[in-house]
Amino acid sequence: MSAAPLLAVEDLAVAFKGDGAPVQAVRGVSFALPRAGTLALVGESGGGKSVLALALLGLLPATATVSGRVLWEGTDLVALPERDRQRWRGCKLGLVLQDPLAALNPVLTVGDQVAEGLRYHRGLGRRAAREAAVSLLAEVRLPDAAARARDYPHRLSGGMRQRALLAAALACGPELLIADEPTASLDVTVQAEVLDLMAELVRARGMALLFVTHNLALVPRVAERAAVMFAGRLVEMGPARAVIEAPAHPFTRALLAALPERWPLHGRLPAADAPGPDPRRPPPGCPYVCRCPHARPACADESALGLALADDRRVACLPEVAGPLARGEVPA
Amino acid sequence: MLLYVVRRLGSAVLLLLALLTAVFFIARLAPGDPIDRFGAADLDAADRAAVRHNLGLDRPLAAQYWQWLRGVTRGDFGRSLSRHQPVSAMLAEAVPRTLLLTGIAYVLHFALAVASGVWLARNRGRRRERVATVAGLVLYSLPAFWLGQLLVLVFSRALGWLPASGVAAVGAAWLPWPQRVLDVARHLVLPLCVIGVAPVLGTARFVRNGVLEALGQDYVLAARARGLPERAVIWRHALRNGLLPVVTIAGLNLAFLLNGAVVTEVVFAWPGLGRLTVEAIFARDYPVIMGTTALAGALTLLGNLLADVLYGVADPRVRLASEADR
Repeated sequence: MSAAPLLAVEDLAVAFKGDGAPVQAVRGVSFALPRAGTLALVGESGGGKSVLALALLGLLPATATVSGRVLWEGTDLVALPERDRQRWRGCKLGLVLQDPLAALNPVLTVGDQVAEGLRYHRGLGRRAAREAAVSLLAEVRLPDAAARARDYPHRLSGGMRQRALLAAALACGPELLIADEPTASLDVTVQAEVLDLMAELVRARGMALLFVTHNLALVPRVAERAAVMFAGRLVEMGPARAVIEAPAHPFTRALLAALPERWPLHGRLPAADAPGPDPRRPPPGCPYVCRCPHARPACADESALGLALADDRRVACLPEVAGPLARGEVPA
Repeated sequence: MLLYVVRRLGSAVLLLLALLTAVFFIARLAPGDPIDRFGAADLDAADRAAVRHNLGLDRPLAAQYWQWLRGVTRGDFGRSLSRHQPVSAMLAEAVPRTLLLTGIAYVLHFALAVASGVWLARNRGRRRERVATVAGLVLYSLPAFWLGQLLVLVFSRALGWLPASGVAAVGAAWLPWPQRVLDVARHLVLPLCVIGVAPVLGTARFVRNGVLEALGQDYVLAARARGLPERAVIWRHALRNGLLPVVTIAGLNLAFLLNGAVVTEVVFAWPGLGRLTVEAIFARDYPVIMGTTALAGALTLLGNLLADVLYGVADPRVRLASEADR
């Protein structure tokens, strides 16, 4: 990582108030993202990935308590008042959501939604905003952009909608794009198209990217680095290729093993055989002990966890488990 | 779309005909006789029969009905039995007065409902929302005749700020027009409070729920992520979706423009369609009853149709479906 990262997340935690003990959705997450760096955040549903993404934007509901720091070139976003955070959103941070139909307002035209960030942040007039919307839609390669800008979302296909949302997120030229499962609702060919387009735009515009997904197979396509999250904690982080080729944390291994591509037709997919830990009362130490085939008493000891496999590769696991796993051996 | 409207208009005409037929016979089934109201107690049987014959009331019901219907197709609603005026002239006089009251009430009601609905949504779960809801519910539940008389007692009798009844003060016709407008406006205040303002919560709750539902949608999250200020998120993104059910209510309530103010018109002696209807019923003035019913019925059906068309304007997805209808 470079010396002055664009974004540095330090010991971030998110808890939701509710009946009884608060739900601890994100716990002690730290990572840094250099300017133009790309990071994939991988994990299973309910693991806290989306909550983490929304925490960066400051868009969590009022029931959420956020602690820790989110440093943007040294400015702590968590401590900023809402008025300033609002300026950050759209301008410096862009968001693409999972379901492109739900994320587009059905009663406003596509062009209106693509350009509205510009109207509020840059004070563009109606006509200038319309022109900007058309050129943004052309940039995401929507055919016949001028006509599509006048269309309502229901007239567009899933892939076109996702491109339109991408255009809206890019409108004000953000320095970091957060994509929360941006292709989960698209079919596989369209998925690949949209992902490649996104990766290309990120590169061309020199943006940083935080790519949230449950699908490890997609990661090398768009991101240099991968961070694996389980039950609100980062369990493994490193170069995307290294994490996939030599997963060191048992959870990363399980996630990889569950990719349907790796299994022959009609074979049974390995399923998680136990629920995750109770988010109201997370266990001490590693949260994955409930499912881990290599669990041992030392796993409950926070200080025993944590292993640097290489300069840029970290695993929150016992050295005697993660070390052999990373070398492709079975731990004793 | 056009075909759809034509088809709907066709069924509306049939419904209207059924309604008028029913009202025609129900009005005559009711006990009482129009000539009792003419101070006819001292008439002898022969004179009574003569009057009845002159008014055509001695003819078979079916024949009377047929005659009335033929007149209507020519735009003739007959003559009032009690006032010896053409019904159409009486309607033409009463309708603008009613529209003045109900039209302003209608606009005021929905403007207030949208504003307070948004306010309720933004203050959801707070103490002030609960207080406002209870207060609004009490106002909403007060019957118009009671609230109207209470307002008259307080603001006209006790405080003397506002006139208690009528459209204009005696002799107002000779005032220069700004004072005349002010005079009518002063007469409008209390009736407007009763029919426009008091029931606001009824509609505001729909606005509130619609806005709250929209605020939970992904497109609102996306709009916030673009850095839109909260007021833009609410008024531009959430309200437009939250208003869809309210558009339906507004359309269904169009009939209110003609027949929504019956009780209020009676309480405030507002000489409009509502009061005309009530007087006609008491006088068993059949042609007038039929005339006001026809007008209100036609407007109700038209309002329903307009609600569906308006819904298409507000929601482009519905527009698409009805275009495919062509």
